[in-house]
Amino acid sequence: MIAGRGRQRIRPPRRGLHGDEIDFENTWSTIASAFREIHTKNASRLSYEELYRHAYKVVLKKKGEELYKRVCDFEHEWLSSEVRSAIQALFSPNLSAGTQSLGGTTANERRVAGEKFFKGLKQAWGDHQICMSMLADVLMYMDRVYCHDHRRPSIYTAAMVLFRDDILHAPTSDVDGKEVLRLLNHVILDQIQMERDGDVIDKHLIKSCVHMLDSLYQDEDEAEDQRLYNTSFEAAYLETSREFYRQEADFLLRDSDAGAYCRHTRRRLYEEEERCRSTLLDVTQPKIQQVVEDELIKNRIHELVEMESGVRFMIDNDRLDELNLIYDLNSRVDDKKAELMRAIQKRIVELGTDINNAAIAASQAPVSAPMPLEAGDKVKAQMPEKSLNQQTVAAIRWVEDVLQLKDKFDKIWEVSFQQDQPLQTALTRSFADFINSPAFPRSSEYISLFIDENMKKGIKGKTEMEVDAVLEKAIILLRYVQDKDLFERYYKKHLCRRLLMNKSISNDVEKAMISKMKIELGNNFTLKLESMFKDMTISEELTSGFKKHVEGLGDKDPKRIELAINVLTSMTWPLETMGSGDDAEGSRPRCIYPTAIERIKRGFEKYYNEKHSGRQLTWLGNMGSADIKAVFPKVPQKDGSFKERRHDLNVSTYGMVILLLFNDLPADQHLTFEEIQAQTNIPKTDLIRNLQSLAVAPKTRILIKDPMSKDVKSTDRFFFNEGFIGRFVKIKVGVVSSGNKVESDRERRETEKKNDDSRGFCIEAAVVRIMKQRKELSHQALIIETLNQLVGQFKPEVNMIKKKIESLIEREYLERVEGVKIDSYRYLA
Amino acid sequence: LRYFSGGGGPTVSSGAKSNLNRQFDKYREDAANNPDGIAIEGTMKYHNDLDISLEDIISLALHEIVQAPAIGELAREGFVDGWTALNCDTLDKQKGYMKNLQNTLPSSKEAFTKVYKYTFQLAKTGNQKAIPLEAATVYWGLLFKSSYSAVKWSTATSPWVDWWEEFLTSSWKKSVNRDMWNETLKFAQMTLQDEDMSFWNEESSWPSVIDEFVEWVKKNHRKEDGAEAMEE
Repeated sequence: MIAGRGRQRIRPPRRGLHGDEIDFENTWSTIASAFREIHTKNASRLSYEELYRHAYKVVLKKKGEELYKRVCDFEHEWLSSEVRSAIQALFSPNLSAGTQSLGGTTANERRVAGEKFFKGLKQAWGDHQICMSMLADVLMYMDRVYCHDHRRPSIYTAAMVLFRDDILHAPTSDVDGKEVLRLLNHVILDQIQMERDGDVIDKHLIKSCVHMLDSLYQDEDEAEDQRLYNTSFEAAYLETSREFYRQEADFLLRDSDAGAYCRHTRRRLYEEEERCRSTLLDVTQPKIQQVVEDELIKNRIHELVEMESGVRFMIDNDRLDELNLIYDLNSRVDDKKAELMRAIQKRIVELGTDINNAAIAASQAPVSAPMPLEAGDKVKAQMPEKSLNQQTVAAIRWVEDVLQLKDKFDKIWEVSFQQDQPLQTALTRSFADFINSPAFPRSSEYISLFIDENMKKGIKGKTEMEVDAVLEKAIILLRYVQDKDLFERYYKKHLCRRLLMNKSISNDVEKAMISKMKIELGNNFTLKLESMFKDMTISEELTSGFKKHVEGLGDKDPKRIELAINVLTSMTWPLETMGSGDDAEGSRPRCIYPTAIERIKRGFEKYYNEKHSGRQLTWLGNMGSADIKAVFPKVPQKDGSFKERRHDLNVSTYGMVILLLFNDLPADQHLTFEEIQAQTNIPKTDLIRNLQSLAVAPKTRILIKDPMSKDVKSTDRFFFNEGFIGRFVKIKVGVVSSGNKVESDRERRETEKKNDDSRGFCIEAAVVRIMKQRKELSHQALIIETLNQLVGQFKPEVNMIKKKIESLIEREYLERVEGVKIDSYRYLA
Repeated sequence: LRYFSGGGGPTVSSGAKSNLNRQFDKYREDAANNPDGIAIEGTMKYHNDLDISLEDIISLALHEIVQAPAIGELAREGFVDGWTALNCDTLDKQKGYMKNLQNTLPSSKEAFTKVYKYTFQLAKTGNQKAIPLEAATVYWGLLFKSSYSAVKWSTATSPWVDWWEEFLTSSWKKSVNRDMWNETLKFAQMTLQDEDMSFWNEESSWPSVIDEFVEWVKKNHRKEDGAEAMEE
């Protein structure tokens, strides 16, 4: 039973088989008159069943084809006479008047005429559909049997095609032969244009016409993309829209500003989306969006970005919302946002270069008229504080400005660019570009100076969080610096001075900075810095240990000299940056210390050697300082007083050595420069500087120089100044030129040379490491790997790597591999 | 069973070796103090007997054959081994060999390269790693200009050797190490194939002296070429 079910079919009633013969013509005229009634909306009197039976019989008697043809003819006749004339009655000259031909028709007149036309068409179409569905019901048996068996379209479909051919493809008039369909398209486009211009139109009405077009096909195949809507209307719509938006872009770029352009474009995009929903069809939405994006964005983005009120203006005036609009528009047409990115990068580099140039200008501001080279040092001695200070200020200013610029663009990125990843990369690259610009070789030094200044003064009175923010600033900038090795060199130099001269406000902050750098740049980077701190700790222990050791000797000498010592590992500390750097290592003349000092020096050496045998101590007199209690005898003063004065003098070690010479000298005796030099063996430049601070500087004139002048000459004579008056008990005799300032050009060249040398070692070491592991490697691969290995430290020039490879070949660490196509090297064990 | 023997040579040539040893002894100046060496006088005499000039690339080739320790000096081991390997144990055979070499050398890059590379060995003194520039330029002249040279480093339009010398003496001014010496031959051969030096680029592994030379040639001798290239 169940298996039989699938075969069940509804069979037509069989009784008619031997039924009465029918007269086709008679039957058809009955049907036809009924159809006419239907078309004229008089169907209520008709009997569906009767009509159905008529049609059924006809088909049953194999007259289906005849019937089908008659119905089609009937519909053709009906449409091309009755319906067409009704439509034609709706034509008016106002309708076809184009937007361009303003010949007397106002938009309003056109709209009214258009709406009338739409209504007529809608009516005709609606009627046709209703009538045809009634007809189709009557002719159901024909559809089912005749059409199905003969592969004919259903009568309903055939009638729709007829509507297309007899109404839409009909000429509007005998004269210009324009089709109704084209007129319809034209009128819809005209109305949409009105809406774009701000008029209100009857969207529903248009939509019903659109639906009509959507349900008719271009040809008999009825392919999905061959709907009249697509083939006829949509194509025209996209084309006219393209033209409209092209002109609109021209107009807007000429008469509007970039922000308004963006807002307008955005509104247009929204409008078009809305239009597809309310007036047209959703399928058009992506297509029209493409058109608007092409014409208003893609083809114009460059002009838009470059407008006077474009990206540059927006950046400079913090127009975050407008930048966001541009970002939004640009990302619609270009994943990479290339235009926006380019403009942003350009502006960053411009602003950054301005900051760089301002820093250079500020650092060169003082009247540093070009001096002959010999005079250079003296000039430096006289007015160094001010000009060097100015440079430090320039350095700090530079750091602040760059940070401010970064804040600005960070905000833009966050607010306007929706934290876009590629743009962030681009921003970073641009910052790195100007920070590492070859025209501005000072970034490393400036950042280090910024930290130095804060360590010495800036962080005073700040909370832990504020201090942390300052350190973080430095780290932010440091991230951009390509040549980390150069920064390390400056940092070491500045740190060295801070530590040895006790300038640092807080050891904890120093250490916090180091650990931040460690996180950012790795262990290797901070290794030497940390060992500097270690040296300082060990030195403290040594000092106190030695003090105990001396006390333990039992020799209680009230005149005993106390020694505080810093033992510095020679490779770790950039000692050449402290004071006289012009003596080559090793050839530094040994200072002759006064016997009391010499004794304690020996004592310490012995003590140290007991603790660490085999280490050599080199005394750096140019770097130390001494506290001396000085007694100035009773001599008549200018103010008439007459008493002994005691001062605690803080002088450099060399200053102390010089002053002690005068201890053994009667008051009226003198020492010449040459005598002092001979008795102390202090290097000439150091001696000059120390004598300047002891005999020339107005507040610390403990010696009298004869003749009195600013320059110290080798023939000058020096006396002890018995009449010295100091306002304070404690007097610090500063030695000319010290402290962390921006380097002079000569110093910078030296630093760079040193840096190049140490880079040379790094490169060689990297090359050897790589080759040792790989044994054989092509030239290209070796260069690339070397660059990779060094990326965290600095970016070596390829030429430098090449030279180092050559040098390694010469020293037979490497050889060229003979007879291979690609230039390669082999490691020689 | 297989026997390992040091090649067929030793037994066959033991007679040849003693011939060569005797020939070597003949040229010695000071058998007592320098029993295994021949100095300049003997070397010159040997050259005369072979009918070759001491100031020619052929002489350098001879030096290479006998692995002479320096110019104008011969050592027994190299002399005997060198000629033994070539099966020339009499003066006549040697003379014939050298005559033949004169004919084949100009067309044999391989033989020339051997001579060229050995010349560096000859030109340096003692344990030095490099040869002085003046010496190097003399040898380059000898090697690249000789009519017997397989690499005559100049063309109708580009007198390369002269440029090379001019560049080295005016801007380079340093001594020449082995790598530079060997790479120069490679470079010379490539310039002869490609006058415009399009084989060269900054990324390749040429020693920096050659990079600088390329720049120098382009700047000083290739201005017109550059302009033409622009027009194209």
